[in-house]
Amino acid sequence: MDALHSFEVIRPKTVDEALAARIAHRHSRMIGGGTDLLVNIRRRIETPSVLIDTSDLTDLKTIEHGDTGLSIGASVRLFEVAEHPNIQHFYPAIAQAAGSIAGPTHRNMGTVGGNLCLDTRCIYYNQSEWWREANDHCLKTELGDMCHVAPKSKGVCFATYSGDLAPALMLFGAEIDLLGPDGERTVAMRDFYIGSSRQDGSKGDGINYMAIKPGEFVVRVRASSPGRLISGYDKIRIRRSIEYPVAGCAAALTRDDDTLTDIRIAFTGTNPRPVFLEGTADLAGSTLSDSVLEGIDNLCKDQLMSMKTTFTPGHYRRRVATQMAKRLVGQLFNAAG
Amino acid sequence: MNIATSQVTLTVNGLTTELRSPPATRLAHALRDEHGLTGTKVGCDAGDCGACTVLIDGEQLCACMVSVAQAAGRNVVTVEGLAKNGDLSDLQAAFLRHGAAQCGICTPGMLMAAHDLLGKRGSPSEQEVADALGGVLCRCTGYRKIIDAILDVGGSRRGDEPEIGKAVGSRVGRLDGAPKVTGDDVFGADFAPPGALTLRVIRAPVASGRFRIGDLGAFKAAHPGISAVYTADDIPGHNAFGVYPTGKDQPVLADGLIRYRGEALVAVVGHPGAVAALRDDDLPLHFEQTTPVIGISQAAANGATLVHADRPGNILAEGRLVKGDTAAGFAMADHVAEGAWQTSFVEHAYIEPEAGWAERVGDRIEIHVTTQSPYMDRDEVAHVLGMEKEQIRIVPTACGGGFGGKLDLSVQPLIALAARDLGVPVRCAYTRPESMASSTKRHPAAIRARAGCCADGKLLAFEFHGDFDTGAYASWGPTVADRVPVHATGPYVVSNVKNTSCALLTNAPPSGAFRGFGVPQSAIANEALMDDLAEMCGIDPLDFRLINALRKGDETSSGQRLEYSAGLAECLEALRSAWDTEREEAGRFNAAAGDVRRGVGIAGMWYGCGNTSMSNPSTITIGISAEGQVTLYNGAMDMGQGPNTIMPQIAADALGVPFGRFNVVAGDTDRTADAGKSSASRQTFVSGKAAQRAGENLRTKILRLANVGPNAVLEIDHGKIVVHDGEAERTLDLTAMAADAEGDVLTGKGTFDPPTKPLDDNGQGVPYATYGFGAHLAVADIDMVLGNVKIRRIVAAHDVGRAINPTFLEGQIHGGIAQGLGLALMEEYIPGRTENLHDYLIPTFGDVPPIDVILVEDPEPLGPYGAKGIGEQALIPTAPAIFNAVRHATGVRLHHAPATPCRVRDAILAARKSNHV
Repeated sequence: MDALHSFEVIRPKTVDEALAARIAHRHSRMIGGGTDLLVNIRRRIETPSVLIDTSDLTDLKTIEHGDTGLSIGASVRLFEVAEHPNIQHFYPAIAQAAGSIAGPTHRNMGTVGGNLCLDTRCIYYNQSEWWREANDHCLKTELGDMCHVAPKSKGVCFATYSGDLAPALMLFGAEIDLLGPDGERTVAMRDFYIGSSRQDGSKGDGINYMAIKPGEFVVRVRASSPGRLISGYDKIRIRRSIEYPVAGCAAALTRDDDTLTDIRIAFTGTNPRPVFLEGTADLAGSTLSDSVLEGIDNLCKDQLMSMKTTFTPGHYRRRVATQMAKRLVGQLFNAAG
Repeated sequence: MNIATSQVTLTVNGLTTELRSPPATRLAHALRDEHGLTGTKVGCDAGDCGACTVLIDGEQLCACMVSVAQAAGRNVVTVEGLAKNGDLSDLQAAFLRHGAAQCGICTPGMLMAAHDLLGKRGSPSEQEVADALGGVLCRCTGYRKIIDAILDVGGSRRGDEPEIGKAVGSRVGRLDGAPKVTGDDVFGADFAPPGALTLRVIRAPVASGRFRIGDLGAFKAAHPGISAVYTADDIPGHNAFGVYPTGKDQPVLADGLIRYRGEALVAVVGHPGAVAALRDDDLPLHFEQTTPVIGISQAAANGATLVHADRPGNILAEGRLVKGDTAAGFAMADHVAEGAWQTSFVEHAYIEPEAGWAERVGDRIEIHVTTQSPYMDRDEVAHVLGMEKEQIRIVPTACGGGFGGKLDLSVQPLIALAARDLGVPVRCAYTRPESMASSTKRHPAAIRARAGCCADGKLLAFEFHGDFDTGAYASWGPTVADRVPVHATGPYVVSNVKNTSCALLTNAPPSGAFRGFGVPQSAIANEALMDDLAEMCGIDPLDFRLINALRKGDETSSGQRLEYSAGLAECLEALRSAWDTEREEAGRFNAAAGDVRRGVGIAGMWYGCGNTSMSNPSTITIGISAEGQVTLYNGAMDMGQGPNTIMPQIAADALGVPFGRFNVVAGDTDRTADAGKSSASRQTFVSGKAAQRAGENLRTKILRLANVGPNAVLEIDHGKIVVHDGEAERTLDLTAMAADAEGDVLTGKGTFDPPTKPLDDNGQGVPYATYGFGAHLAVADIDMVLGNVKIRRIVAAHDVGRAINPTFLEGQIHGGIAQGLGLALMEEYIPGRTENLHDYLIPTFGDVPPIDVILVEDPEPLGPYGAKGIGEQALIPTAPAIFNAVRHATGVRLHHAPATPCRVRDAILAARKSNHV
């Protein structure tokens, strides 16, 4: 139960070396802090033959902040994001999200790239091999073909995305720079997470939750300048640390006198993807009234989909995510007044 | 740099070190297995507990989440690197001084995380400490004393060094403390002799059914590293164990029938690598699943499948207490309150999973194991192996937390069987999922209760029925059924009582002993009813409890008249000032009408020390060697709560020598006398009294030899004892005396068995010689929108008879409160679901609020210097006080533990719907 399968570890010094290793080893996985991946490997959820350790990639360890925005390398560790003065000042939602992840050991180990690519989670998936075997496995693993959360899902997986950074970055129109065998490309974060889990299978789900091609890896994430946006992050958890979010909410807005002129909301811990709430633009233009809050309610009802993937019931996660959003928007609006 | 070959170089504690483990080995295992750096503990192997926290390049990281290959070239510091030239660091010394290490299993991780923090912030705030150490779990301390230690890292190193006769009552540090902060303490998984084979248990993947074993010969032939595979047929004695003589119903290895998921089926022994590489489905096991009996209602249903054919109705045990006439009592009552409550399985979650090793020595078997009951282990292993008790020796390792969960056998019989059969040492350490699947749990309860009182608040009648899910095997189920009716009325005077209980068998892991044996569950119901009645009467909840509090001279519901040591009223009075100010403050806070509402709740508690109406003697021996070394042979197992220090404190005063003279031999069944099990809050009371008597016995012998009076002063020196009696001075030459096998020339022995009387058919009698009393006050903030409850403060008053060591008592109370908080708000083990420490939530650093401890001393004449127990007492009132705080804040009554945010929110919404809020 305890032994890991045998694998090779490559520790490239440069991004070019990392890419070469990635091309040379088709079944490799990138490993940052390993707080997610090594635990999954121990559970034999996956058994990559080669791990490419990103911890020596100094080129990916920089945080740059300027007039045009923010750029964070994939190997930057989570505590560095949480403690960065410019991120705290200009992008409080991002700093707060990073500072709220798991516990201090995890934030020391975990990287931005790793958190963005955090595997989706489910109580039928993140368990020991013995446990999964006893439950006939599930379709997110190679050995199973059934979703225990939604037995009639016809091959669609509902495992939940739980990364804290993604919703906060999405507020600022963040883009992810990917490097792969075909070179570098940039994907908007809202397009990067594809876990819609639609019954027609038209897009991704809890298994295929990232628009990433074979051999590609995240090199950095870039956020636009916040302008006058003020932002914040809140999450509900049952205890203070070492816990995935029951639900997390990032929000940003601008206020001119009493008018809400921009409002953006994103969630984690609810769907198989981080959800950037669509349609909030229509809520801007007036003061923060009950009708705006009702509007948030309605958008959440349409877009949040929490299933029985965690020990906390789905109906609760969906409702409190919505409530958190409304509260956070209220707090930000007042703070901006 | 490609690391595929098996050798990496890194720096460990300042030394260049090579690791030859395969690159995929986790650093925690490589440090332990290759370099014997076992101060780095493995509690979960998944980054959930932080016990393996080390510094890598100066920062705290979990060594179970770093592969050896990733660690190449790094600078690693482990707990072994903190002390310099044998001198403890300031941080280590502060941990000892403040009692920040109890069992010690989390201590290395805590120290490393604290070291990281102190390197960055010279004088951290309390909040910074809680944030920085939030990645390490502790199950014993409630974290408060760890905070104290870190905030006082630069404090004076001078500890308490009590003079003769003053050890009792002093805050001496742990006698066995130093190894806990240096990483030298040896826990169950920390050592086995070279060449030891590894044993692994293959466990049932289904909750009920049958299994068949195929061709084991072919399996062994295909697996050359495997030395043996054991099945039920290989058990030489009785393939049945259980703590009760009448409850030996659990097979060591199942004989074809599966009664719970996680049950042991087959044990495989072999070379460590071969065993680790083995997959469960490599074994020729064939399963046939049947529909399991899940939960109390299924077990109790008419025609339910029987979990054991010889237990009709799935009833394991029933308890009953009847006093007076409840019908008449309720008829007279002006107010009657009633309700139904439900609690969940609770996992002990000690940070050290079950582990140990065994070897054959001549015709005997020696078992080194983490345990809280060495003598019971000895007797049970002998029964299983068909050997004489004297042929089994249990040598307890350090015990990394027990809380009742290490009273039952785990690895013991299997490693003993294999070591005897193979003639080589055999070790076994459970993984966290294995521990959680197989070990005992707290009983879930389904309770209905009602209580009635006069308009002036005096209780008149009380009725209670609790059904308890006792899981697949007896374990301590009968104890729960016994204890609950005695205690269910709460610490109050009621003349008309009918309390019944029933332990029902289901296809879940066995429910066993867990700090309180059913009383924490029943207290939730009882204390809710007290608040209901107080409200109906218009009486303040604290006053209502005072009106009804059991006091000296009162009769309990089992008809026992309390003659001494019943300090509940003093405890309640001790809470009054906090009660008044906190209630007033809550009122002010709630006037703001925000989303968060504040409440203040109170709950009382009582709990009998020792076994229920059953003999439970302890014997303690003390020896003085020819060199003048005083040794206390302590069979009272220390799992962090402190008997290795408390027994010498008591004995030092009884003998009349300084505490500092003592050393301790702990638990070894060959070297100590039987001091019973560490459970039922009995060690300080029962074994403590035995230690007092042993000290007195030895003193009497010395005084007699010296022919001096009772007030003589002893001065033990190298090779002699100088006895001063007024002007007279006599010298006893120890070197001239004959030594026993331990090398002692003078010995003393003391035994104590607390006096009880059997309970009759109506539960009337004297079940316990004494009771601990206490009361907790909880201040809670409830988010009315999200449903989460944050505890702001706990004030805990406990009548402990006499405080032998106030630091240890505070530590027990803090830890009990942390577990009570977990029971109230977050802990829920779901059989077949929960198997790790991130789905099973126990309180972390930031969850345990500041705690004020008030020690009340109403002496118990039977106890050592007046002392009685605290272990379970500390936990019982916490959850009910929290539930009552939620009720005060919101008007919502909680009926389901744990009150997770979802349940609290649902309760708030339901109450709004019916216009109760």
